[in-house]
Amino acid sequence: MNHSESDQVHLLSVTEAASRIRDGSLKPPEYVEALADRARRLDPLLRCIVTLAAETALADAQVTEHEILHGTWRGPLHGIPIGVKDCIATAGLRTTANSRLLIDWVPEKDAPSMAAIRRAGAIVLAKLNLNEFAWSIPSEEDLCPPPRNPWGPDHLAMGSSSGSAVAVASGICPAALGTDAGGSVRQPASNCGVAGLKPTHGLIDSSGAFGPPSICDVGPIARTVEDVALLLEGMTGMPGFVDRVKKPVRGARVGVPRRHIDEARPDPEVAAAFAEALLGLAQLGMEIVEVEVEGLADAAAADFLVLNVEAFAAHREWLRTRIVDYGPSARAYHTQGAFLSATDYTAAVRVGEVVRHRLEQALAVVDVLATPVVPVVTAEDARASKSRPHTGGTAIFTAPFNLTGHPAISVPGGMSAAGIPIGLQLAGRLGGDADLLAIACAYQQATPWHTMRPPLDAAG
Amino acid sequence: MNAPSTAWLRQIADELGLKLGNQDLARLRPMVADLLAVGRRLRLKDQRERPIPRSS
Repeated sequence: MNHSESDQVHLLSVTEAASRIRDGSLKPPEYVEALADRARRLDPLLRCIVTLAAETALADAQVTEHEILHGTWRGPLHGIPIGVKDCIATAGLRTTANSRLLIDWVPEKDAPSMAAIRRAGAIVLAKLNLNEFAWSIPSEEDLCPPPRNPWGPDHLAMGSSSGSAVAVASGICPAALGTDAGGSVRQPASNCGVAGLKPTHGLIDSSGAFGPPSICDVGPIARTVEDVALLLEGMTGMPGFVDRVKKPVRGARVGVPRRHIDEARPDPEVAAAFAEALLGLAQLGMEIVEVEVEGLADAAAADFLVLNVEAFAAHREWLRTRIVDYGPSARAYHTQGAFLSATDYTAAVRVGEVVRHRLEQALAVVDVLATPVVPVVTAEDARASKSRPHTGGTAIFTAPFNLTGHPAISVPGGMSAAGIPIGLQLAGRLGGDADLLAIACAYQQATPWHTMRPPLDAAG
Repeated sequence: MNAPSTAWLRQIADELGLKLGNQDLARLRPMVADLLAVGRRLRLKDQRERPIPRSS
């Protein structure tokens, strides 16, 4: 690989890099070194990395090269450097969850999702920044201050898998893992112009990641939907997702929960991008129909009620013994569930049962639902919006699908006048992740948004 | 619904062995108020929609 090639490998998708690793034109050690150099150059600005694992990644890449040269090719993720949200346990590699509680914690075992993707051959290049324990308002006083959006470094990048979305959007790694309990994969993906999937609840074993167990899923972030499908295959060990995304989707029916969207009063730029996205889906031969799914706003609020109760339950002992090690926001966020009752929690779970049933009825008539991802454009807009409290607020479109377990993906769907990406959310049937990805992939291939790159390199 | 009192928050925190300072309690008060209001709304709706009676 000559110098100009090493300058450009950060532009490769996972699929493209895999093809070049397979044919020998891209050597995993050179690929890792090029991305590690890029990380060292960009991270002082972007702050998306908690731990850069360049040395271990290089050693893994050398083993990978040896295996491939000797005829052992484990599949398209073999030799692909990825980033991992730092609340997902990585054996032998520090995992902090961006908390002073875990500043020196080196797990002995991988989280199951991590182990699966390593078995598929992926290499961990970096552990990526997040809101403390994935549930807090980020601040400059955090163990690692919050990532900046590569599309506008004056802005943050939504959360909580902010580092994962920033690293992928900026070309530090071609793909990353995040976690999503209310929109934490989809919202930063939307805000950074990349694709992010919250799979059907339970499709991926999400134990070994900090998050409320009944609503949180590990999910992939990448620059293309095809790459998301590849990572899903790696994490589940189940083939078929990539083959399915290539199949035609003409005639698919797209449901729009119009009343729910309108009641959330999305920003005019978000509403305009969503209208244009629907037009794009229709131009692909899909039928757009309005649907009524009662209770989606309740489901968003109920998701956060469940989240708070489960967050307190998981952190109770640390809150009793090490409360001063939490940042002020994470301390409050993980404590608030202590003041709720079992009847509150049961009512929230019950909302999930009811709305899950209604969604399945709606999805018997349409193939996917379409909504915006976030009703506002920037992380700062989200925080400033007094009319959207933390109990559901800016997760009004994403959180319902955490509570009900349905798969949902954010794909690039527009750009604000100030140059900040705006995503389109598509949600599919329970277990219908492959069909969902196929429709998302068709949309992505017909639109230009995913080909745009943040202005990092132009700025030097 | 009124915001919970600081005294009530402190009582629950003490019972759970959580050493929360005044600033923590002040930060928590509106957040807990929001959550309690959501819980109450969801409980009432559940009671209205359930075909069988519940005691709470």
